[in-house]
Amino acid sequence: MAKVLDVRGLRVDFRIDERYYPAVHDIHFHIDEGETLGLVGESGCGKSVTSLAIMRLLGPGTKVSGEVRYGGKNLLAIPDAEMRRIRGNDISMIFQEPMTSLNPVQRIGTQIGESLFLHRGLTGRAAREQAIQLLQEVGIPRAEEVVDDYPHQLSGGMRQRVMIAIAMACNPKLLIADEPTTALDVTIQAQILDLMRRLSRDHGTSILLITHDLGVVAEMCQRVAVMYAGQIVEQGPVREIFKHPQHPYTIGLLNSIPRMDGPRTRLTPIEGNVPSLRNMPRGCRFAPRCPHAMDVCRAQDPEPVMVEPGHDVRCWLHAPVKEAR
Amino acid sequence: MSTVLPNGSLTQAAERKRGIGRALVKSIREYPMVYLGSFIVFVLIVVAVFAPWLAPYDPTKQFANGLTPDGMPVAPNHQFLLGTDDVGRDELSRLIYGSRVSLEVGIFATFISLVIGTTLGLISGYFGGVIDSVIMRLTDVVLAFPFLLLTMALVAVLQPSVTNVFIAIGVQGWGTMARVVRGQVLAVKSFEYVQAERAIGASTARILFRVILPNVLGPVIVLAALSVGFNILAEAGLSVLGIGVQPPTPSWGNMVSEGLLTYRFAPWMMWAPGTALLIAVLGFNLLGDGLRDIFDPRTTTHG
Repeated sequence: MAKVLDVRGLRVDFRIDERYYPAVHDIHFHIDEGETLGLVGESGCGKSVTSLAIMRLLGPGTKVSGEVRYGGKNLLAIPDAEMRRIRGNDISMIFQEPMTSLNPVQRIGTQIGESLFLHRGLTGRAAREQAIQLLQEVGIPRAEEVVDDYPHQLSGGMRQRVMIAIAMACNPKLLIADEPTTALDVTIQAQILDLMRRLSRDHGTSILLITHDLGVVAEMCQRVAVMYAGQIVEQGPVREIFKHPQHPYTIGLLNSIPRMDGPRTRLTPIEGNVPSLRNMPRGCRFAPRCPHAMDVCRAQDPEPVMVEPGHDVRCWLHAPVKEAR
Repeated sequence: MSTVLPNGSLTQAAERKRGIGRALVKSIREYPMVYLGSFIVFVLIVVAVFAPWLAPYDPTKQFANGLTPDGMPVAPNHQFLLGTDDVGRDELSRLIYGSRVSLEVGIFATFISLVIGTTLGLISGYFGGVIDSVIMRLTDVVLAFPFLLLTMALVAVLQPSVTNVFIAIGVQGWGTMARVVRGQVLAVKSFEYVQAERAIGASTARILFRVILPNVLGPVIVLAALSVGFNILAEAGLSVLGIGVQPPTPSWGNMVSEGLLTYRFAPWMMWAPGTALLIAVLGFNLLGDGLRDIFDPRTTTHG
């Protein structure tokens, strides 16, 4: 299948007190057409930074390098004006917090129309009708009225639907959803995920789904990439990773959530904390918390190793012994 | 979420309409001073707009019976309701026409400050860094400079006229606006909807003027209302000093100035424009203060 997005060696540095520290480091992944890729990891591991870097939405004080290939171009190298035409048109984004993601002083219809105007040149009646149609498509009842409402008149779930309508307005190839259901309650979460799955299927839109909820990943994604401290430590097909996790961090992550099947056992947490940007361990970033840490882990950062086709893991346990030196 | 009442749309619309009416009544009860302020401002605007119809006489006409036999201004009587001035012109007509100058200067000067201050504040707050530092230091300079001194210098160079007076006042009044707008922008730009706007491909100019500007407008409106009052007073002050609006064009300031000379035997000449100024400035200040209370529900010192 054709790749919609191909991220190669992405690295993002943050400036702290006149020095640069890598927040995201050596990221490789791709998304196929129509596929949903999950990007999981705990808070602060660099999931959102990765997505913002792809969209080139990181502010000053950051340095982005590597390659983000989309439609034969490197998004990190094209001019600003060209990037603006891609945002919202080819690649669009929805955010975590539906309560603050909509402009409080503009009507819903105007905000949907904004995207239609920027990329399709639609105004007035045409834009309004298109907006109503989009609202209907994302399952908003009384769309003809809601189109004239202000964001504060809608509930969180409704607002997230509106955000999705805005994101889908120009029929993008890729939708980046940054924790789209974290701020919503469980029933609404399920509805929003259903909606995203339906839209993705109907329009052939690929989704990069950023989440810390493994349940969401199991339900939505074909493949998953697990991030830890700014690196992807393991990636592969969802079934494969859930059944045979290879990286100690992935194993720890899966052991720390309750399971519906199998015997009921105590949940095991991963000991310790995520290292801070300023004092990253020298070798493998997970080594200080890893139950299997060896000398080589503390000395040298491992490279990704393929354990099976399409399943990579970044761990010395799986590295060919000779290379371990 | 997806279930709709059969008459859902009707009840919702009715509720919305009733909500607005109730909110208005509630806000009048809660903020009576805003309504007093708006009323004063409204009356002032009506008087200024309809001056030719409201004024009993031509404000520059000198009446033969407008002076006493020994050449003194005539005290208020049934023909001249507020008396006459020292050259026999009707004081009431001058007062009515004077409201035009006051409003014109007050509003246009504020408008100039508003445009300069908002633009600089937006740029400063949004871009930050060196641009921010430069604009903010410039603002400090403008705020630190003695107002009267600079205005006198400006008017002296530009020649005193209504237009030049409001330009002179307006180009200095933007300091506070720029600071307030900058502060608001710093708060607003971190909201996700700004990021979301960029994520749909909007340009920086579009984000600044279509997303950020409408969201910082509340405090700016408050400041503008207060600033109109201040600018009316500034014009009066300049006119009293003789470097504002020049006679025979009536302005409340130069009327006070003329009254000053004859205060001991014709005090009405100063009271009338003085009281008018007081009420006008009070009106704009009440309006501004009240709007601040409405926009910022945390302040409890309203009414």
